[in-house]
Amino acid sequence: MTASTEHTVMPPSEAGGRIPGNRGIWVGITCIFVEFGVLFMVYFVARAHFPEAFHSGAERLSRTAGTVITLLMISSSFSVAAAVVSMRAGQQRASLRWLVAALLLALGYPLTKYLEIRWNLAHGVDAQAGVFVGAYYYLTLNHLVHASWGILGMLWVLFRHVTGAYSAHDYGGLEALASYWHATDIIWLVIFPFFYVLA
Amino acid sequence: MSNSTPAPNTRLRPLLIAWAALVALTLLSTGLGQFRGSGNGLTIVVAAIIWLKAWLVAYTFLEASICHTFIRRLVFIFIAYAPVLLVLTDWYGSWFASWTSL
Repeated sequence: MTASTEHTVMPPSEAGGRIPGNRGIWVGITCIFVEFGVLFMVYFVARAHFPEAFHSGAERLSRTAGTVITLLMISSSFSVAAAVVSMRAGQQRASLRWLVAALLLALGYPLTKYLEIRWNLAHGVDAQAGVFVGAYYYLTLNHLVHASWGILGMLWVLFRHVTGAYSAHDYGGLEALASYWHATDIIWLVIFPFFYVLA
Repeated sequence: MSNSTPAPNTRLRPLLIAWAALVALTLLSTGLGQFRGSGNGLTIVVAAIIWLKAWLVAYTFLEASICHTFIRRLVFIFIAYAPVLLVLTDWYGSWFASWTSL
């Protein structure tokens, strides 16, 4: 191996396959998957111990809010993926527009969550409302924290994008953000039916 | 130069199709919630939808299938983990509860 390989920005292929973005972001995503794996286990233990509370739980929440958040997450995730694909195709302005769309859609998540919590409190769905609601706040607020980090990352990548930091040959930062955001999306797609769908 | 890894996607169309499928599956999930059904049948359907939606994001948006072996395994194990445990918890809930009691 020569020293010149160390300067490769984003190798198209490595032994074992591509690493989207960079290795660092995948260390973080691995930690998040492990963290939510443990949190999901807490959910399953609670569901096994209190099946009645979980069978009737979804009726206490706003299914509309859960559906809106899901649609926002998948649309934002799609827009980020489109930003990456456009950049690969050399369409930097289109990539920037997709990234702005992703950010606006992503910002709808905390806004909808705020409105949902207001609705919850008005309907007695607070921290003392039982094991189902406790698990619901535990998992969904934890996810919101991770999504907020993603939104902050999106703002940083948007700033870098506007300043021309990315090109069709060097877009590792944009792809790292996309990987994180897709992972956050996948986690929400699991959480949504846990609390808003299953009876 | 030998390069056995497929090139990453550069077309919007596969992303759009995946997004439309994700929207449809989300609305289907919401409809299942309104249906207020219960039991193992609903759980299996919901678990299948969770897996399918997560797979669509992983395969189409994240392009996990052409990623490094570790990433590919990590993602596909994670998206299978919750649906499998969901079904097992509903089928063997009482056994699982006794096993996790202090």
